[in-house]
Amino acid sequence: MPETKPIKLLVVDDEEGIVHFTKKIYEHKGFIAFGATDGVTAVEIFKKERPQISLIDVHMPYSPIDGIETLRQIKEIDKNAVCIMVTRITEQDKVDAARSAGAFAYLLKPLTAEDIDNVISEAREKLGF
Amino acid sequence: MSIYSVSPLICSLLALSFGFFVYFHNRKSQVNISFGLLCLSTFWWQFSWFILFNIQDRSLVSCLTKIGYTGIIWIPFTFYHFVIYWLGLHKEKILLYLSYILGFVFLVILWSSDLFLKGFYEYRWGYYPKAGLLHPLYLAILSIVAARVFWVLGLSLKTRNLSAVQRNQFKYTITSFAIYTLASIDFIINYGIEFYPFGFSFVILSLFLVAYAIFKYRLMDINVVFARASIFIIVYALVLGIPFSLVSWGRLWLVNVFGQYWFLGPMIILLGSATAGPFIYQYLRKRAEDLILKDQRRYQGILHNLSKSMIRIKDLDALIATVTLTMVDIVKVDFAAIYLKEDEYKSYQLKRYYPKEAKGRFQEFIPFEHSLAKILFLKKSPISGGDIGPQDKVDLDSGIIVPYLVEESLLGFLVLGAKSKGQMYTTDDILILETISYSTSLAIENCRFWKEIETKQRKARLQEMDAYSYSLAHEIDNPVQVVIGQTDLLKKYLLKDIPEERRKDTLEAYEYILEAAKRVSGMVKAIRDFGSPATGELKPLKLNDVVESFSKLYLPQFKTNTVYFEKHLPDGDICIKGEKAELMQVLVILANNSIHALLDTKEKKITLKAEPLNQDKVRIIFSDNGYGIKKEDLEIIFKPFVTTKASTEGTGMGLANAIKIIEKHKGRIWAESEGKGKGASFYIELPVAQDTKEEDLACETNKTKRLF
Repeated sequence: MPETKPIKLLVVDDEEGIVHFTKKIYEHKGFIAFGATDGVTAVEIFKKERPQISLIDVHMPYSPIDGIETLRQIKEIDKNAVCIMVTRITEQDKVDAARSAGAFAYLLKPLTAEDIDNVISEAREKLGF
Repeated sequence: MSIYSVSPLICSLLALSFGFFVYFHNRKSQVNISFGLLCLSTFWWQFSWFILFNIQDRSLVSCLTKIGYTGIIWIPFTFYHFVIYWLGLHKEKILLYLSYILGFVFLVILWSSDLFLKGFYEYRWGYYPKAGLLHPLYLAILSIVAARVFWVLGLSLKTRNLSAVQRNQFKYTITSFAIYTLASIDFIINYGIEFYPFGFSFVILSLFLVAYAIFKYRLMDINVVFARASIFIIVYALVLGIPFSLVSWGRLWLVNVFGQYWFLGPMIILLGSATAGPFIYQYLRKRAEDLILKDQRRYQGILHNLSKSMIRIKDLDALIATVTLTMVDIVKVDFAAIYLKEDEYKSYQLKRYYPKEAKGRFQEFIPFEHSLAKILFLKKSPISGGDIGPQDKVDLDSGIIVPYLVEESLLGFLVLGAKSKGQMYTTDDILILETISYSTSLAIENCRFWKEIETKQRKARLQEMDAYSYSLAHEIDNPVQVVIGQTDLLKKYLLKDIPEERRKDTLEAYEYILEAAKRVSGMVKAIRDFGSPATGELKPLKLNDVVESFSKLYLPQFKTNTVYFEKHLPDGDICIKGEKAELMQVLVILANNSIHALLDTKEKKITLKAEPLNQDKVRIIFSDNGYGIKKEDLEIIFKPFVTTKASTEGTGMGLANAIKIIEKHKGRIWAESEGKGKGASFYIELPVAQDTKEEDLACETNKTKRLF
């Protein structure tokens, strides 16, 4: 657990309940968590807070921009940002788009906290934060 | 006019009118034609004698006796002719032609020599022909023909399976012919023994017997015409007879009473009766017809209404049920059954029969090439026993078969038993059955058309439902994930804020919530797996995963149908290669069939057992304790369009699809059953995914849910 400087985490999902509990769980784990239910808000929060890790739902029908576009805009702002894509549908073109846009990982829902934790520790190891 | 000539005159006229009625009622029927010929010969015989008994001129006698015999010769042969056609003994035809040739031979002898008739006797009541040298030969032949006639009649009566009505027809025909035969007593007079030729009385008696049989047992189906004619003759005999007999017998008395205007009385009576005649005739005719046709008119009216309303019925099952019920309950026939064309079986399939007791009579399928189908198609109108021979292997049992024709094809047919009251089908019956068959054919087509439209609409609806359920499953999963995640949050981090003494209960509650939510999530995933489009490639899968997904998907169905479902899975993962959705579909098909087979079972049970068979193969055994499968059906059931379900359910495609899917997976599927009522088991064998770690890995990735 980082004691000096807590890690900032952004949770993007169009289901508010999911954003809420994910945020809470990571807050309990000592993260500073932010939440957004659409891509535009997510990009704004990213600009302001610069979280090291973003969990982004790919499929957000009610958001003006979808998960892939959110990923691209975040990567434009900071190409070192760790973006973990989360989805329920396996569409190969989305997977490819996420990969070429520089996503760190692509996970399939439903997920347990452990699944996400594993990816986060992997990212921290790789990028050293 | 000689008093002795009255009886032959009456007899001849009776025979003539009788023959006319029978012949004109159905001029195409060989039975009617031959009966007409018999009557004509009888008329010829008696009418010649009527003239013979009246003439004074001796020079004309020889010629007249020969003219009389010109008719007499044919009597035994026309007799034979009638019986052969009435019984349908077509093999006897050669003998019949032979006997007709003999008739001609005798005719030639009669007119060219005096070997047959040699002059005449002069009795006190008139002249009578004298037998010639060959006359006994004719009598011998006559005896042989008569013996043959009674032999075939007796044989048919004994060997044929006759209905009560037919038995009575036989009885009357045989008796009436036997009586007619007695008329041959007149031949004795040809040999010089003098007595008045009273053979005519036997002829009249036999004619009356036939007439009675016609009325009572519908022999030759002419009772209505006969009634009309009789009424007409009686009415006009009275209309003309009363005044004329008054004139001929009461003239003296009339002249005495009325003087020179004696004729006015009879004339007024004639005018009156001639005016009233038609009305009396109409009245009596109507009464007689009402009486004779009472029953027939009742159901014909109902049939007529039925044929009008039939076209509005849109459900085929309802339509054929209505037709069979009406035939049995309203027309009152012993049984009714409907067969309809099923191209898939190349047969006509029994669709419905009524009443239940008639079950044993019908075979389920009548192939297209069966002679019955051919006869119906060729004849294109109702057929009765007379239309088919023994070689056709169809037992009509005095019933009738009505074809359903549309354009140039035989759509099906209606099999009717004998009329319950023992009556025969009349020409009118056959006509109305034929008429109603046209509207039935149209109604059947109509039903099939509606069903097709409905199926199309349903298919379209199902397709929409398909897409809908896929996205619905997606939308259900989101809130379920919220429930799971939030409960997880409560469990892990917020439980400590709950007072110690309530923590256990709360934790329990959380567990229940999590368990329920995960079950929903599992079902949703199963629906999505099931609905995901086929990619056409076989991917590594865990066998247990497929079975689990199936049971999650299907459990609600088992529960609705109160089926106890048990599954046995192997320990550890067995990897197979396949499309999950398709393999699930196979299990769904088997489950659908089992649930149907279990409808009448009290304790419904389905067992699914998956086990490794050896290193290369796995086996899934899907068993139920339902009504089982007949041995001969074990293979047929995998053929397309075969279904044991009612026509409204099932497409008969289920197992045909299953076998296709399993073959694609390089496996095999077969059914086993101990027989009816002993349940059924379906076996599926699939190859185990071998070697390559890559595949094992892929099998593993399913667990980690990480694509990169």
